[in-house]
Amino acid sequence: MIPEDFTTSLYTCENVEKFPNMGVLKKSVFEFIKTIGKNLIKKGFIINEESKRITFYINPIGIVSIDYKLNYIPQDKVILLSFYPRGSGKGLDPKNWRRDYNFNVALRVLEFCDSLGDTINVSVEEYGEVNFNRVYLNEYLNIRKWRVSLFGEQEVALDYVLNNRKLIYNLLLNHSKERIYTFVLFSHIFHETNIDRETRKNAQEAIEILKQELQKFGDVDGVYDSINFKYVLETYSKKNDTIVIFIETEDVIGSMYKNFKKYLDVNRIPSQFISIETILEKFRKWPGVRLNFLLELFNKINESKPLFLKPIPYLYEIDGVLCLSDIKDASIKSLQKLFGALFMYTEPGIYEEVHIYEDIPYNIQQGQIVFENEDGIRRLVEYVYQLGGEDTVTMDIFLTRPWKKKHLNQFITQLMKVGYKVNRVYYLSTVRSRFVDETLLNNLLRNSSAEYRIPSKVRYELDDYWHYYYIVSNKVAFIRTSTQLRIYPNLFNLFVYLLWPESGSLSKADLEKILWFTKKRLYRFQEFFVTKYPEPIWIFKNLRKLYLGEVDERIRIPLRLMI
Amino acid sequence: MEYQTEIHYQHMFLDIADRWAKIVISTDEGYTIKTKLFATLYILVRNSKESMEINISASQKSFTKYPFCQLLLSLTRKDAKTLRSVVSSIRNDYYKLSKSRHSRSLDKLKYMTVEGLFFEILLRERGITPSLFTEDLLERLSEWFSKHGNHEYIPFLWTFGLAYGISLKNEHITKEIQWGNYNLLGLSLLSYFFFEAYKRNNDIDSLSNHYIATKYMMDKLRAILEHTDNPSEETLDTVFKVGVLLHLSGYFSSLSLPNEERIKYLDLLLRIPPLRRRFESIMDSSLQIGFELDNLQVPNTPIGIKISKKFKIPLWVVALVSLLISIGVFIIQITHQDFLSLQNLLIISLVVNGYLVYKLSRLKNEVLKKLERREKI
Repeated sequence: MIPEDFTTSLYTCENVEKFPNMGVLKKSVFEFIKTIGKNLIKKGFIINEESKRITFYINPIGIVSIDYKLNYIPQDKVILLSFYPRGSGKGLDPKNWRRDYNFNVALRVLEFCDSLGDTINVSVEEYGEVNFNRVYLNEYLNIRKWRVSLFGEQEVALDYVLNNRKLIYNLLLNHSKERIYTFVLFSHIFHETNIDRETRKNAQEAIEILKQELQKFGDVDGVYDSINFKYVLETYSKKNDTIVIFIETEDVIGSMYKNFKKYLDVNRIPSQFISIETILEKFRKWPGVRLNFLLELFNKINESKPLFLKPIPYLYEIDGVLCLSDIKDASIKSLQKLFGALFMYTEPGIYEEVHIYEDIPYNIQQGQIVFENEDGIRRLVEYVYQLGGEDTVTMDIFLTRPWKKKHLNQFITQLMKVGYKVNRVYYLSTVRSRFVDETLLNNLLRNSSAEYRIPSKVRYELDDYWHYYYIVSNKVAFIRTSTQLRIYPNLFNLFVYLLWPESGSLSKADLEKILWFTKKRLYRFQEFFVTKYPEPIWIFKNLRKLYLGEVDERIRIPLRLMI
Repeated sequence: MEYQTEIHYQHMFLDIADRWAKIVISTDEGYTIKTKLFATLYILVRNSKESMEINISASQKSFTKYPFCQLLLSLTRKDAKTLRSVVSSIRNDYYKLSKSRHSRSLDKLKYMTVEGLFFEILLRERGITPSLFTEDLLERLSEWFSKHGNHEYIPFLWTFGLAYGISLKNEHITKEIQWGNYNLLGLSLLSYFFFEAYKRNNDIDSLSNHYIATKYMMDKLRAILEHTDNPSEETLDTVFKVGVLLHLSGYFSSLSLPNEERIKYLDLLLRIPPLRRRFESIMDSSLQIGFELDNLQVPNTPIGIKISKKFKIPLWVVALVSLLISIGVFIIQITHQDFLSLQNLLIISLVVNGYLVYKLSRLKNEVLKKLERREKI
């Protein structure tokens, strides 16, 4: 049965001959909202003329803002208008919103758009009318039967893997016997004398639970004091079968990660950071969390992954994906402008690296990467050639920020000259255009008493394996990569912009490819339906959590350590 | 007795390969062309046919990424003309890779060497010349692997040479094999090459190595046999490749023996010849300097027998005693003419020497007999 259309908070205006001034258009949209102000006020939305903001109150968050973004896609003559919730500064910060909070907030944004109607006619001064139409979602990709390779031996459907947690755990247990793993545990809190009895007891209990689990898979050494980790690790040979695990309280683990991770990764030491709270609260209660932890560990050890999502047919036209990104680390003010590159192959078992370059001069102008000179582009091509690791490679490119058109073309031309073939270039973003939609809420409604007007006949048809998408135009599309709601970022879809080839147009195949790179993170077993970012993008996002410090030569990190 | 009616793990493997080959060939969707072609190749070799028509579309993109795609396709289609041109183009790829400065070239070359040797066997079976691995390419590869420290790949090259009568000039190659380093396909290649070398040179060392490789291979196969419900395509490809090699090497001919006989036969071939050879070599050296055995084991394998025998004879003492007696006899003969002393000396000398020879030969025969009977020594 084909599901009904699902509402969104996205509007589009097509066939725009001339783009109106962005500031003026934004004001005009607000003016339109004001015209139906009475209706909105009745429904509890507040329109503040002074600050030009729309807000609403919701318990227990407090005041939430409904913001809107306008995006113009010149090649396709399309304007996107998207409404989305954000923190107002007078309520709970979105990063602390729980699942039900997010759910209720999204419902309110959709109610707001219901009040606006399916068509918005905005009058723009000295321009005329701009007509926006609301977007409905009705097309999806079903990934339920995507194939998964288990330890390279068996091949089963994705839903079978996700429904057979015990089988995966037992396979992991059996395969761990083929090698001798050493888990080296570190914890500062365990050695800290000046802490309360409760914290000490929790730390001891958590470490004991973890030890008991890890002893099934290999030898366990420690617990050593985290502060001495460099000194202790010198006594271990740097072979891949040693894994370092840090166990600290939730508030310490973040800063420890920032400070230690670079050293560990650059020295190619697989490491995992886990909080005492996670072990105590989730390890026993949620066996999926325990499996998640173990799968992440074993993914970091070597190139052969316990679970590998088999490439879908569309991926056969490429050898892998090159992801390029400007880099911002965890420092408040970055010391240098760093540039990152990684190459991810579609086939398993190949060694992959993330490189961070300090000698590619660039600037960010109006949200675009602009290289300072052609030497920078040439050097980047040379580096990519080394990173690709072969004489001929066919690739897609993922960019975390758009590049100046001229520079992108130069880069591609030079890559082609060295024998590399570029298939497609995508700019992927989770913030460029944000909107909420009914499909995500529908899943939650199954177990919820919340009242909403999703037709009951489709309510149970929806499935976590269905990824709704919307192709706006030749160049722009959206895809819902996370199909379960957990945290604030889950609310939004992934924005896909085809930057190259100029004559190309987006199709379902492009979105399926991008979705594959998102869902290949099968090691996030417990969070599989929540994973949102394609793996290459996720790795650069992860880099932002580290202190990179002063970089005076290229940093090379095995990609598997950065997951 | 036909092997189809027997129950044994080798037989189970054949059953699985047969069953999956049929499933893969008859299923329209769900398997890539590569796996379908490997299944076809397996059936062809199994039934001693040269070609077979299967319904595939060669335009599938996944297929073109496999470096041996055209070769595989041509091998299933009795297409000698295309085979020759494809072989030459793949050979060029090896040269290109060996010159490349890229990090992945080494990995790719390693992969292509193992995979290519599998096809080389089929090409030689079909009589396609020149085949993929020319002498020059073998030399180049052996130098390349030596240079990059990938010594585990060199046994493929020298055993290949041994099988087909090609000797490598590279002086740095090691002939030691760390059996535990190889995957299933690697072990079946080594098993195949050693068997061919045995057939070519009638060399017992090669035969014993063939069986050692086969033993390791069967151990690895057991792991595969545990997952027969949903084998991955990689597993299926390997099953078909190994099946092809086992059929070609004639390994399954031993399966025509009755079960009990076959086990005895395999056991004898697996255990006794290498152990006997090992003992004899120790014995030979011990005749010169004496010997002491704690246990007896085929190098680099778990095959062995616990043994404790000590027989140390300093041969220089024997030689010195003999010399002194001879000198004594000579002096007595010239100076004293004392017949009685001479007689005594001769008797002593004969008794000592006779005793030593008797003791040694008895011990040797005793140990060998016990080995044959597999009794504790």
